[in-house]
Amino acid sequence: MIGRRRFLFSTTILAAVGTATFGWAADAKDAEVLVTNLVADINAVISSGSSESVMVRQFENIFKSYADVPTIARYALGNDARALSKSQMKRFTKVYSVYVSHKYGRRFREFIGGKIVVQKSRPVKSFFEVETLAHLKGWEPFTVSFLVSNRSGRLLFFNMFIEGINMLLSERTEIGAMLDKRRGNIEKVMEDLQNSI
Amino acid sequence: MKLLYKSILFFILPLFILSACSPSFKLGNYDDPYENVNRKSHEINKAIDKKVLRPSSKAYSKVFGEKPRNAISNFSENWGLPKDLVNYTLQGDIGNVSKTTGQFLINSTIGIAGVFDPSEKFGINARGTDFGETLHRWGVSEGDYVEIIFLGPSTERDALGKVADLVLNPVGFVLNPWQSRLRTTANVGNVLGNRAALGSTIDSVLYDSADSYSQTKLAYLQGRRFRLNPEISEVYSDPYDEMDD
Repeated sequence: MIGRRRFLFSTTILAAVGTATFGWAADAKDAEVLVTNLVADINAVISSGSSESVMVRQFENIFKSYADVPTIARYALGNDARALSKSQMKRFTKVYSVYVSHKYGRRFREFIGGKIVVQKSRPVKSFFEVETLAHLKGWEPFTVSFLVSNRSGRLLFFNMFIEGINMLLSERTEIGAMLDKRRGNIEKVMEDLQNSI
Repeated sequence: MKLLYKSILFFILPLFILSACSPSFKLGNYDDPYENVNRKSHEINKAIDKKVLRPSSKAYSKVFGEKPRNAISNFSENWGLPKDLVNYTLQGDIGNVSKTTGQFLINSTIGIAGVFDPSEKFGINARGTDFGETLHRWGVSEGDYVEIIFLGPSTERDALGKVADLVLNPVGFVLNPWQSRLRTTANVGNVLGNRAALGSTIDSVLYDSADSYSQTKLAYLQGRRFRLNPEISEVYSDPYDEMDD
């Protein structure tokens, strides 16, 4: 009962927030359509047989059109984001988006010969979870979930779970470790990110 | 062998009694009381990977094409199925007992001792399991995170499970020395094949990240918890709320 009540409550809040802020409320189906398109684009790239550099660039474009990159970049920085100036944040977001899309693009490249299929979607808190199943030759199928929100003003995904592994959490850990190495110097971290691309 | 079973009971029973009342794990909890020791093992494991596993897996996939590699992995995994069968029986999971039995029978016969995987065409593809999962089903909590030399990332419960699984596979009792060597060789091949197949993902975690220890720990704990409790949803944090603060 509690689960159902909470569900009703969150959808009501969601509808209220959605209409108040953007004048429209997305539903789980919209999120599912977004992920279906995203997955179709990813599948097209992994079955294209292009070279690694071409594929990585294609994944970069996919990432830019389907992901809420500024939110992901900001979350990766965590509390350290507050110390950045506006221009630093802007530059960080730019270099980070290339870095992160290359990183995950390379990972999706390992899906060659396989495909991702959308399974189901449901509302959670103020966003949606869309579950997909990745079928790779020689492996048991595994779950890749996308979290989708329209709170940036557009319906975009802001997190991804591969077999339960939280991309945002890994990214925050990674950027945190990079900042530690550079004693909190964001300019140096941006150089490191640039060099790793 | 009797002694081994006895010692397992001796070690596992107290663990079971101790933790039967506590929850199995806490989502989002990455406490790490053994971090100092774990980090040292991690460096050793990384060195083993860099000097032995990674180069051997590259050589392995160069020498053997995709088909022989798959055949070796199929064979290795097929003869690991009796271990899954024992575990599903201990878990009382009838559905997976029959699935695993079906897969083992089909692949061992039509699939020529498991070299091929025809069961997949029949739609039988049993999910793997282990004694760590059996302990989990019995209510044993995961314990603390440990990284063990050669075994890699684990938890106290799952490390114990890995040791128990070595003994639990009934195949070990019926093979002659020659067959046993063949199986061990295929298992090594399977490990190398998996390392090669997951090549750039493992490389990126171990060699490209600023703190490979933390990344390994996060990935292991989250992946393991997800596998054992797919029905429990993740406690999602909402980055949009966080930024409004």
